[in-house]
Parts: sequence; C-alpha cells; structure tokens
Amino acid sequence: MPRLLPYGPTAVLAEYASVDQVLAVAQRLHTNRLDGVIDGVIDVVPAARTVLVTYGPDVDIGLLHRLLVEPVDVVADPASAHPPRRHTVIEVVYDGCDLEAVAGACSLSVDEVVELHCGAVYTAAFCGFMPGFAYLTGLDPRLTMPRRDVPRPRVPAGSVAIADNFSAVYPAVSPGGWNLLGHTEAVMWDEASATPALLVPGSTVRFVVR
Amino acid sequence: MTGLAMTGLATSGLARLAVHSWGVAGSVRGAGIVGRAGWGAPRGGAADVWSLGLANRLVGNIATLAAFESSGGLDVEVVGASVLVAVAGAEADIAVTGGPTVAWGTPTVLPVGARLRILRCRHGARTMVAVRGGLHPGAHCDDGDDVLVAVGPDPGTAVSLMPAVPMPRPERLIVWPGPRLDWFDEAAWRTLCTSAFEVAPASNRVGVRLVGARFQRTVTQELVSEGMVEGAIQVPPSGHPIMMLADHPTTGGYPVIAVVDPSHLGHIAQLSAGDEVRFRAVALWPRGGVDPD
Repeated sequence: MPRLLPYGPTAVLAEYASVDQVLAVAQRLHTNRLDGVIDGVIDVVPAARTVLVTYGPDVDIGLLHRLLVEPVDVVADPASAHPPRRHTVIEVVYDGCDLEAVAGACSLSVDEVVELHCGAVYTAAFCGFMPGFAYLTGLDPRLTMPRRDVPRPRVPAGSVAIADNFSAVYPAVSPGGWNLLGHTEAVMWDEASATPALLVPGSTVRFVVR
Repeated sequence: MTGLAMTGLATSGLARLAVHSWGVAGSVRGAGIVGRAGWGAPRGGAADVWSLGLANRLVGNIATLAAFESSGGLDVEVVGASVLVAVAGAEADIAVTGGPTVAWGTPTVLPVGARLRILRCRHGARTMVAVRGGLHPGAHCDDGDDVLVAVGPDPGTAVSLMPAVPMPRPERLIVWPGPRLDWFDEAAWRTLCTSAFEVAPASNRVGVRLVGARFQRTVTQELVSEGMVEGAIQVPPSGHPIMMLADHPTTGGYPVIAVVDPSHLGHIAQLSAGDEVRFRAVALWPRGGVDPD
C-alpha cells in the first residue's frame, strides 16, 4: 500500500514499493490531467520510489489522493506503461576516464563494458538532479557499481555515465559522482525549445558506438 | 470658486488627489481588518484584494495600502505635486485630461492639474486605482461641488501620500512538517522551532544554508532521491539544514525535515549571510503544536 507523506500545504509525496509502480502512477496522473479529470496539479515529479505532486487551490485533494494510492496494474516492462514515444538513439564516443576502472571493478574488459552498455534498451524512469538529467533504467546488472567515493567537481557536458543500476547523460557541465564511460554530442536540454528535454519519463534510449 | 480652492490645497507642495466625484460606489479601500467578526465587523477593505495588491505593486507600494475602488464615475484631480498611479481590477474606460493616457496595469505619472476619470467598468465590477505612497483612508465629506477625501490628521479635507515601505520581515518563518521528519530524533521538531540559525555565506539561488543547531537522524539508511519543493528544508549528513530556493534540484537524496510555508518564500530569498533565522510551527497542523516560547 502506498504511503502519503506530508509536504506542506501545496504538495504531497507518495511512496511506493517499486519504480514500476512510480511510473504507472505518474502515467495515470498524466492521463487524468490530459483528459481534464483532475485540475490544479502543477508539477508531478517521479523519482525512484516516490511521486511528488504540487498543486494549487483548485485541486480536488480527495481525487488526487485516490489517484495516488489506488492500486495500478504494474506491467513487467515499465516502458509499456507509457504511450509510444519516439525512441532515441544516442551516439557515444567511449573515451570516459572511468572506463578502465569500471571494467576492473566489474571483472570485464573495456570492450565488454562498451558492448554491455550498448546492448541494452533503456527507459527514462524519472528526471532530476539538473534540467534534462534522466535516470535510465535497464542497465545490465553486470555493470552495477556505486558512485565514486569523491565526486568530481566538474563533469563535462554530454558525459555518458553509470551509477548503481542507472545510466545517464550529463546535459551540462556540473559536479558529479557517476562513473564516466564516454561522451555524446546529443543536446539533452534545449532551453529554447517548447519541449526542452530530449528524454522524459517513459522515453526509451539506446546507446551506439560512434 | 470651488471647494478645492477654498481649502488652499492648490498651493501645497504635497501631492494630493481631490475627488470631484465618487461616481458609483466609489471609495478608498485598503486590505481591511480581519479578526473582528465576533464584534460584528466584517473585513471591509477592497472587495478584490488581489487587484488591490497588483495596483499597489505596480506603483511600488506594499500590497495592502489604500487605493480607490470604483465601479465607474470616479473623477479625481492631481493637486500639489505629480503622482504615480496604476489601474488594476476591472478593465475600464479611462479618460485623462491634462496628462498622459492611463492604461490598465501600466504605471503612469500624472502631473499637477491632470484629471483622471473612470468612466465605465468593463469585464468586471470594480476598478482599483493605486497611487504611489498609498491613500490615507478615512471618511469623506460632501462639501459642495468638490468632495475631498479625508486625510490623516485633518479628516475631511484631502487625500495625501505616504512613503512606500518595504514588506516587514517576519520574525519567524512558518514551517510545516516535512515528509521525512520521522527520520530524525524526537527532539528535532522542537529544536527546529526553538533554535536560532544563522545564514551561511555559501548560500546561493539553489539554497540558503543554515548553521546553528544540528539535527540527529535516527533512520540512517540511504534515502533514494525524491522530489523536492521550493522551501523544503533538507538535512545533509553534516546536520546543517538547507532551505531550497528557485534553482534547487528537483530531486534530492537527503531527508526533508520541514517545509517553509509558501507565503514566506520571498523572505527566504532575501536572506543574506549572517542573518538570523528562526522558525515557528504552523499552527494548523496537529503535530505542529510546539510553542516556541
């Protein structure tokens, strides 16, 4: 049973058992907003185990709580819980400074790391950390490894990285603790666009060697 | 000879507004006074407080200063010195003689002698006309041809202006319990609502960092990143809280102990290094019943 946690007068945080439930609930909210079933919702922020919803005074709070806690059909593949979206292919130059360290830690060769990273179809589960930074699920479990002990003060824009069971692309230069496998020229965040994020929750992604 | 000339206002250096006609239901209204309903007094004040606030802000006033409320027919003349005016609320046909056109939502300087008339409201019932410095609210008298708004010490003569005043900073920021309050020890909420904190120099548009009391976690497991709102008070491993501002990351991996009430977000954005910060529990919330004093 999901838990609803207090977050002041204009927000609520719902907590779930799995990222699949998170995606399903976020999708349900999305659909109900589009269909005009619920008004007054300002932001929906899915994360690994939670959905944060902020709202204005015109929200039907009882309805919102029901949409958050009523059971959802969780399908095995979270991507199918979303309407079809354009599949994105991201070209990567695998020259990251952690490539060899990752290979060593995972008892793989560098070529095998690249092969496994390119071999998966990823799904953007949620966005956060910085504009356009999507947490991509679907990483091969053999590549699971923790964040660096000491974050780098400066990770270049376009860095393709992994941490825990996620992969991601840094949309802009920032501090960061993820393990860097390579880089891409893809524009992850275009401030001038009406749809600025290349990847939104539910987007599917493949990485290919450039 | 008009009543205006007889009062000698035209020779004064102080900006005033002489009311030639109140029109339909014209009056001078501030935000009103709440808390007297038990004595039979409703709030009073501007019917549309939001539009009062907008008109006031357009001329640099705090939102609650008194302004004209008109349903059409208001006719005022600038006397003594030029004034800055702005119109909000119901769109209206506005006529100006002796000065520039006044458009809805546009601050405009009217020179001495200019006459502003709210002819007719459109798309709404009440037009607000705010004046830089605010109007002194008070009774008005019906004195021959010219009706003059009451002014502070000398009721029944004219409207005068007072200087704009910055919004006073609240002594304590109101906080609501956050989603992870129960990750901290029993004393945490009381500590938050009774301690004095100081704004650290490392603060920026991402967050206002506070030093002072530190918070002890009882749940020490890693928090997987979760959504944060503006005003969330996050506690990193150092135990020193951070209040999230406009550029905060939308998700964060440290527990949020409390949330600053949205009405106080502007104040946290104005905090500088070295400022003292205190909190008080929102009284609406049952768990918030910690009296800081």
